[in-house]
Amino acid sequence: MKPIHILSDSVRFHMDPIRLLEHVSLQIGYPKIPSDRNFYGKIQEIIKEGHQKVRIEFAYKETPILSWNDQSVVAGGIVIDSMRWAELVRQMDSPGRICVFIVTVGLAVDQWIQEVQGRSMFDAYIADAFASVWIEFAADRLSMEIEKQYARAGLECSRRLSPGYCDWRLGIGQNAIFKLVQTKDMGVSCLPSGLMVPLKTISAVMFTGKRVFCKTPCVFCNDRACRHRRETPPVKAP
Amino acid sequence: MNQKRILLSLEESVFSKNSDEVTRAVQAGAIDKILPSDIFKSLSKGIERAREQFRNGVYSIPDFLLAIDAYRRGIGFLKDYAVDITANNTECPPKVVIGVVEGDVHDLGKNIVAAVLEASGYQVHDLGRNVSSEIFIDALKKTQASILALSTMMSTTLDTMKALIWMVRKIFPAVAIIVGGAPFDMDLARQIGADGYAENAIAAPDETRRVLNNISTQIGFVA
Repeated sequence: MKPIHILSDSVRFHMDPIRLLEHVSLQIGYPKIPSDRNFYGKIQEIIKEGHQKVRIEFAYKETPILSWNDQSVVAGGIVIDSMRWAELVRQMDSPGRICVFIVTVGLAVDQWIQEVQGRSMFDAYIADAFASVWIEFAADRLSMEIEKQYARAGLECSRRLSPGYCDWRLGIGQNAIFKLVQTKDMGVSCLPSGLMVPLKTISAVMFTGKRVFCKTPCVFCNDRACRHRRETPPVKAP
Repeated sequence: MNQKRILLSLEESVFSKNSDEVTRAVQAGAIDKILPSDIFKSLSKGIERAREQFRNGVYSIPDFLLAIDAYRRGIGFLKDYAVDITANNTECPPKVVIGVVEGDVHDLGKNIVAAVLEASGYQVHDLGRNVSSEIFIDALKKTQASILALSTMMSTTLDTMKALIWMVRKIFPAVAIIVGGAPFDMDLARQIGADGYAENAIAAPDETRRVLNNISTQIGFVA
């Protein structure tokens, strides 16, 4: 199977300021638009400051799925040790490739949050929430772009899976991803504990195939209390 | 403003999350006539009242952090004037060594806990983040601290933390150990050998007091 060059450097990451404010407010446990004008003003000031620090960088690699069993999925250069996601692949029609990506908001954001802590814990809390919202947005944006590009090739995608989530262990997963994807140019590194620096970085894989009947393996999972559970019903096989 | 009013104003400003009011109070003419330990007590009372508001569901975490900022503004004033806040204070505050264990650099939560413990009267020695076990042991030796507070946001650093707790138990049996961070609940805290677990920064002073009293009772005296 030929590789599909799914992403170009021109992927745009633009977040609507009102939407950003709403998400930051929700992230810190407030209503979408805080009623306290003073509070609202403070959040807006920090968002404005943070915007100057955000610099989205990403790297990705796609590789063919070679085999799978009930424990793991083996692709070119990477093994995904997750029973649940192996089951998701088993349920797919013609599993094809996996796309592995790493995206970051940049080291300047980490440094900024550290600086802000020196002057105000409140500001640092908002700054941290701002950076979390941005990195989740960037990963979602990238996932959507990947999905769109694969759709053009007639393939469907699963949701993204990151090490440390579901039953994919953090240390093992990060090690596998960082062996596959080159991150030197984007300034991202990974400690032996699996912690990525800059802190606001997401690594993930997406599984593709002719038909992906379940976007996540939640349907095969009995952990009803899982806070990441998605109840999306599987698409029926024809 | 007389001294009593200044002290009341400091307490009220911290409680009402108003850093600018703290500045106004410390700039009042008579502040230099007040004992630094009294200023510290007023600032701490403000934090204690803010904690109470949080426990009662009136303050949120961001509200509480605004109170912490106001408290830090006041403490900053004392530090600017090179004032030793323990001067004229006959009580010897319990010492806490705090840090994020090796392999993790998430330190926002730890920094908030350190500020709250300091405001609650503990003498805090903050070692920072990604701290090796050797540095923790060394700090406990040097400071003779009675409490070790360890933080991590990750599950992969739990083995490191468990090994550190085991070492501290062997070398410093009288040191009380509390842990905090995303992976923890009370069960996990017990499993890795800690004496206590602080669910959040606001709970940290009460939990620290509890474990300190427990360990003091075990070794034969009450703190």
